[in-house]
Order: sequence, then structure tokens, then C-alpha cells
Amino acid sequence: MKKFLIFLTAFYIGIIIFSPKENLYFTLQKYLKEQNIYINSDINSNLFSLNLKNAKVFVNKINLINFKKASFYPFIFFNKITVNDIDINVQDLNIKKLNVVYSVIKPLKIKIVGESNFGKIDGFIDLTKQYLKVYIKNPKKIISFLRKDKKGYYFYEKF
Amino acid sequence: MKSFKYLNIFLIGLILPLIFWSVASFYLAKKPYFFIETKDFYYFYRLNLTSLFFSDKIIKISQKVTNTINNMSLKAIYKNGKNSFIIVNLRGKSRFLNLNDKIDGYKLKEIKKDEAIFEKNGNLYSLTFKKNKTKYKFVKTDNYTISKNTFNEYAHNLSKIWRNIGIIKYREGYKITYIKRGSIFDRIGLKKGDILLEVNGKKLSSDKDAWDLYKNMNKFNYYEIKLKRNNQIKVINYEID
Repeated sequence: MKKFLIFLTAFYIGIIIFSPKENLYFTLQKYLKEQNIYINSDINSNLFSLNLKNAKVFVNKINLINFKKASFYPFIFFNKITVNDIDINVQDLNIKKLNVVYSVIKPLKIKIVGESNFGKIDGFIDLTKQYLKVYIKNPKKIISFLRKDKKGYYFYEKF
Repeated sequence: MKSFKYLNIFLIGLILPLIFWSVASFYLAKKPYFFIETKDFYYFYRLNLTSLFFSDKIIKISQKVTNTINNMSLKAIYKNGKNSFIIVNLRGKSRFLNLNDKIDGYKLKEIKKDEAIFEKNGNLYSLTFKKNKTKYKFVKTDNYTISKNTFNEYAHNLSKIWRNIGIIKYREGYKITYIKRGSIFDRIGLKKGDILLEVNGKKLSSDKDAWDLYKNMNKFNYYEIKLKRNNQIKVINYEID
């Protein structure tokens, strides 16, 4: 049993540190390209994470989003994306920090938490029902784009 | 020695993922995918600068080639120096022509961007792409003046725009699906069902065109909007004052 646990630990560490993070990211880019989404950025990776800097996101050839830095931590059982200083090129919307977390504890949901100049962000992506629901606490600039329920104002998108 | 007892197992555990990822890498993308930005240009201001420097007489350019070939039509042009060629349709049959090739007595002298020049008996003949005859009728142009304050109020507030007007992508432009009664859009001559085709000479054929227009809104002091209403083309001019 001890031998198996040691093997499993080593295997888990190996899977993380030897993963070709940049190639995996390029494959993601290839998939996004088919959806007409491009991310132009500086890319670098280390043993545990992949980092993007000074990124421009193009959707249907439109430069919709810019962000200063994003880090991907692919730990398989716990995956996290941290994005800093996101500028949405509509009405000077800015997200100071955004964390997107996926863990095996809740395998069917992706948690989204962040802080922005239009309110505090707290939401999730439901993978089974395929929708995004993000609550914005005290929304200021984008209230007309939001829906409302008992919990407050929220942004909803089905995919 | 006891602490190295499990080293082999640990190393095997590490090497296996290395082999796995090495194999998997063959199937993964090897290069990044970037988007190359292009800049589009608009007519920002309605100024006729050429009139300051040139007289009308100089602007007039004499047209040398006026003859056309009736029974031949131009299908395609491939322009690449000496390797340029064109495809023409003569009496229902397509023909490839390189420079100096002859067809029906016409010798291909020059290939331009959207025109082929032929020579026959010392005369020059021009062959251009057939222009689609517009099925729409032009109606009169309307002119409106919008105050700069009102304009800026909307230009900086996207949600205010969407509260007052609804626009969806349509085949040839953007269709107005809703206009709030009494709103600014109602007062400047726009109507529900209008299809916006061009703004300041630039076609609105994609979301990017519409986005570029929105991002450059503050740079204009004059707008010329071409739209389709009841199968008729209408031009509305707006001056931001």
C-alpha cells in the first residue's frame, strides 16, 4: 500500500510538472480560433503554471477584452485561473481581479469570484445545464444588462 | 539505505508521466494562434482639402479607354506581375488568358486591379467586372443636426443606446427592430425596419465594422448613413454641432 501511494504521489507530481503547458494552451487557442476567438499575448510557463501577459482578446475580430496578466494552475484535482486587471472595452468596465476555480469537490460547477469597478462578482458555470450565472453585488454601470432575483442582480448566459 | 528503498518506485512514478506527455505532445498544437489586427479608415471630417490646392481643371482626368467589348465578360483577375492572368467568358465558354494572348482578335495588353485592357486594330478596349444592377430606387436625402452634448450623452452610454433602440445583424447590414417613441433615434429620422447599410462610406457588413464605428464615434463631426427602407435606398446626413 505504501509503495502504491508513493507511486501515485510521484505520478501526480510528474503529470503536473511535465505537462507541456504551452502546447496545451496552443491547442486551446486552436479550438478557440474555430469559434473566432483569439488571445494575443506573451506566453511563458514554469513547473506549476502557465502565464499570459499583456493579452488582447478578439471575438469576431473585435478587441473586446484586454488583461495584464493571467495565470493557469492545472493541478487536475484543483484547477485555478487568476486574471488581473481586465479591461472590457465597453463603457470603461474594469475587473481588478478574477478567479476561476474548478475542483473535484464540485465537479459539475466552475466557481467565479472577482472584484470590479461595476460591483463584486460571485457566480458559477453549471456544466450539466450549460449556463453561466454571475451575481454582481451593488452593480453600478451595467444594471440595465442584468436580471434580478431574490439574491440580487445577476448576469445569465446559456451556451 | 532504508530511505532509498522507495526511490525506484518514486522515479518510475515520475518517468511514466514524462513518457505520457511526450507521446501526447505529438497530438498537441505546436505554435500559437494570433490574430493580426487590421486598421480600417473612415472619413472623419467633411473637408474638401483638394479644392484648396487644385483647380477643377486639374482634377479632371481624361479617360483614354472608352471602348468596351460587348460579347465578352470578365470573370476573374489574378494579378502577379508576369504571371498575371484573367478568366473571361466568351459566348458561354470560360477562357484563361495570359498577357499578350489573343481572343476573337483582341490582344490582352494590360491587367489592372479590376480591369483588363485589350487591343484590336490599334484601338484600346476595356473589360471590367459586371456591376450588379441595383434593384433599389434612390429616394431623397434628409439632413439633421444633432447637438454635441446629446451625441456625447449617447456615445458614452451604451446602455442608454440599447434602452432606446434595438438593432440586429441582418443579411446586408443591421436592422432596426425597435425605436422608443420620443427618443433621439425617433427624432432623427430612423424608423423600425430600416436596414443600416453604410456609415460614412463604409459598409456595415460585420460586427467588427459596427464595433469600429462605435469606437470611432467621437472622431466624427459628420455622418452620412445609407439605409434601406421599403426596398428603397435612403441617405441621411447628420451634422454634430
